[in-house]
Amino acid sequence: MADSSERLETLVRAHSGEVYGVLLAITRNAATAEELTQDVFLLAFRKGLSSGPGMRAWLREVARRLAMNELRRKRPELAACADALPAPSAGGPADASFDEELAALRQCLAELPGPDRTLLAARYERGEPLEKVAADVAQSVGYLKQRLFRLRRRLAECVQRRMGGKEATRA
Amino acid sequence: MPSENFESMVTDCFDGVLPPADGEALAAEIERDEAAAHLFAQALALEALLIAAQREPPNAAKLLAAMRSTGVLARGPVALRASSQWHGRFAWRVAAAAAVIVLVGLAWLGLRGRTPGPSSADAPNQVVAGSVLANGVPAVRIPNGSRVTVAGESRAVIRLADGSEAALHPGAVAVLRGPVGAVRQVVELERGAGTFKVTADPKQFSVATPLGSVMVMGTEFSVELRPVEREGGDRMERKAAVLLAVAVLAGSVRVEFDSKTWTLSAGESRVFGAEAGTQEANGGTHERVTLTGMGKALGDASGKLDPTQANATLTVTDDGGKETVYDVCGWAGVIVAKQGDGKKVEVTGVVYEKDGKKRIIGKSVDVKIIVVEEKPEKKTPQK
Repeated sequence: MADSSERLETLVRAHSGEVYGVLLAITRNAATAEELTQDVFLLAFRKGLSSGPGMRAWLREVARRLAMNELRRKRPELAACADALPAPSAGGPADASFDEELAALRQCLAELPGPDRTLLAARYERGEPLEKVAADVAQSVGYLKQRLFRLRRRLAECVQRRMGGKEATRA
Repeated sequence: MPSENFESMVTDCFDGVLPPADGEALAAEIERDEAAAHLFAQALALEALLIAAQREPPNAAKLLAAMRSTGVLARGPVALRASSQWHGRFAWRVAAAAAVIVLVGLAWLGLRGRTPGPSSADAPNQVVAGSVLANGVPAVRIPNGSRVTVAGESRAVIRLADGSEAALHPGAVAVLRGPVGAVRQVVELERGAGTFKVTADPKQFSVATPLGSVMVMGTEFSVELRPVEREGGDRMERKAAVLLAVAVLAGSVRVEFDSKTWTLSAGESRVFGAEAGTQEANGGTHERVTLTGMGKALGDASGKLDPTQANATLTVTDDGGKETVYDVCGWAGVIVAKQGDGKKVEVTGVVYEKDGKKRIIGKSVDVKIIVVEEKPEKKTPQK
């Protein structure tokens, strides 16, 4: 049991940042995201899983499903079940490191113009609703949505370039 | 291929401006379209990175401490998959603790409960063992109002908000209502079996079934719902029997059924039901049924039957005199009169096993039970 607990700790320390990010991205509620983060890792624990190839993708997928269900509140038959999700298969290619991608993104963010960084800080760091941000900068919500859309695409391409041969933000 | 407005829906989702109807459409498209799922996954991955880059990450130590506090980790992944101790046999053998056994045959012609939606921010019920689906999603925290299904082959133990525990057996389905009015906890058991350890409290704890409710103050009791079907006939005729049998082994309970209330004390039992079905090798009614338990009478000196005789057998004698013996899993009834050397017992419900299936004889069937007691030796008074 100590061994399984250690495996869980390794999993949590390696992946909780990304799992939380996925959950928060969808649920947009920090408390819910934190609770669901625990649920994701408890599910991994129950399945006896540990760090290895495919684990990152598995955790992201479980987090996505739990968060999507939280988002849409559908009935049982329609929600994907993490238990039905096959465990990560052994022997696959190594996952790109979340920390490496994060470092790449930070470099990409540093290259953005000031107003774009300010917009992203308002949106992600402070978690302000789009309507408030739009009011603060005296722009329409539709305009801001377009701006964020272009920024995201630009950052994704930048991270991809910096990651080089590895599949950044692979599904 | 993703729809034209798919990317727009995705960004609206992340920006928190996606209307609920579009949320359904987005989820549905992700589920059915592989390209859409891939696009969403990529966008989601970037979104997670942006959040991680701009915000404080969750404290890993705090997360682990929270998970350890559930007690789940101490049991390990193998322990969580431990097999049930129920052994698949409906036994009325009960520990010394207060217990109420409720047996319900469930009619599958529409005795389903409501399916409520979960509370958005309230998840006070915690899974401490086993696996459940709360509204179809694996969960360790369950909001009040959730419909819980036990997954897998082992029992699931849920610690309820008031500290009570509900151990639901494999295949059980229940709705955890939470506090309802003056009742501190309401659990709606729709199917299967459960054992409840209820903390002592002035307020009542209730297990509701499609036929009636069992209300307790603070005790440990088991509730079992089992479908019972008739053999023969076409599909519509094979209706499940509807039967609720309650036997109180210790403490007392109040049973609400059909707009009436019964209080049952320790040693009392009663069966409630609109209809009961029988499954006999020869069908029809029976002239005489004898309940014996290990060769001994099943009643005590007070005239009440002892429901803890788990090894009782049921001998069914048909009109032609042919006897068939079945294992009795449980029964309820009262002795109503003396008959010959024994006592005539009105058995209001008997559960027995035939061909690997549990079946019920109920009050609507003309059943006469004779319990034969050992005659006391006559003592010659000494002068």
